[in-house]
Amino acid sequence: MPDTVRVRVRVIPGGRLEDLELEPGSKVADMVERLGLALSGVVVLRDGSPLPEDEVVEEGEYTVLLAASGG
Amino acid sequence: MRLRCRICGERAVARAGPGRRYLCARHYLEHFERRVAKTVEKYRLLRGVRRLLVAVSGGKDSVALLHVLHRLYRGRVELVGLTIDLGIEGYSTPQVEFARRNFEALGIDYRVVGLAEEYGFTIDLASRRRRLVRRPTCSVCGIVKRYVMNRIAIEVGADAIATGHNLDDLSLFTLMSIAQGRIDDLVKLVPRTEKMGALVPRIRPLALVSGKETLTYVVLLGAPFHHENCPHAPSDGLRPELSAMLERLEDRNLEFRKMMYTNIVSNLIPRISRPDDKAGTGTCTICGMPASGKICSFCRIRMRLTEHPKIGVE
Ligand SMILES: [Zn+2]
Ligand SMILES: [Zn+2]
Repeated sequence: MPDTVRVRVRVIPGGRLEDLELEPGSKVADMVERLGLALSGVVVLRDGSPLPEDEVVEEGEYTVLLAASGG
Repeated sequence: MRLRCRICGERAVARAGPGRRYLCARHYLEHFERRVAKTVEKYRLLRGVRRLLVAVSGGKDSVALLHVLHRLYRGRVELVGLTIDLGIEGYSTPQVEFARRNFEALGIDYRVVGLAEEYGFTIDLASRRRRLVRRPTCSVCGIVKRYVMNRIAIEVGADAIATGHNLDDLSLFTLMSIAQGRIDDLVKLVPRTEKMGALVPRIRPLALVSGKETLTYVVLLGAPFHHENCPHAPSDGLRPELSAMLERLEDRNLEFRKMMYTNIVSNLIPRISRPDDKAGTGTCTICGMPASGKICSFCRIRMRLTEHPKIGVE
């Protein structure tokens, strides 16, 4: 079992890309915290579908949509 | 791990409600729509409304608003869409396009009002010449939108105007207007403002759902929406800081914003409201729309931007 989980996160709007290494078993909430964001202010997507904040993070790509934007 | 819906066992997409239950896409959509329907009932937002003008910017909230109203009240309330091309470069064109795609997809009649074509100025111009208009760009934009919405509502015979303000917006605005002592603004931040002279009632059906919830809703619906920051929105200062603070607070104290906002609406605003004898009762001598003085704020802005000599201003 690998000792880290590597993820690439794109934050929208803005398009900021972050490569993170998380501990195995980390949850979506941990990933959001590592990005310095509040859970109440984001929706996290995997393959275009929203994830509950305590879903366990797997290797791969995620999108974080910021709620405080748009109109 | 795959979290499962508490109702049907399908894959969960979010937690929702006071019980923070896991819900699948289908049950999340139902939950969201029920929350909006409850808001509409609680504040009697659709009282006397047969035709409703729905203001759609193309962003997540107004797109959510259009869909939820269509899904809940189709056949009972006639929806007419409105989108305003504010003339913000690189921003307004895609916004209008997203709004249009949603109107078309739902078969809803709509109007597109171009600020440049109809009134001879844009928000970009108001920003470049903000010293001349003597107002921050976001304030000009608010005045412009309210004016155009009201005007079109009268033109199409709408009984009310619906906007996509969500709980994040309203809790932030109420807090800011209290902090800054803008009581006249505060009392208008209710889920429904009543008719005043030629001012058409405005309703905010998303008042008790958060931006996170409207965002989840439109993503799950697969509705097209524009998700960018307005280039004129300040990236620092009181407003974004307070907004981030409220999000943090919400993380620790779930439903803090809802508690604060509903208490302000039910317990504070009624005590400080008084029959307003100023706003909306006068008439603008230029355009005939409601005004507190002889000339409405919109006409003052428009005149400053279109009649002032250009030399030495840019
Ligand atoms: Zn379900
Ligand atoms: Zn006027």
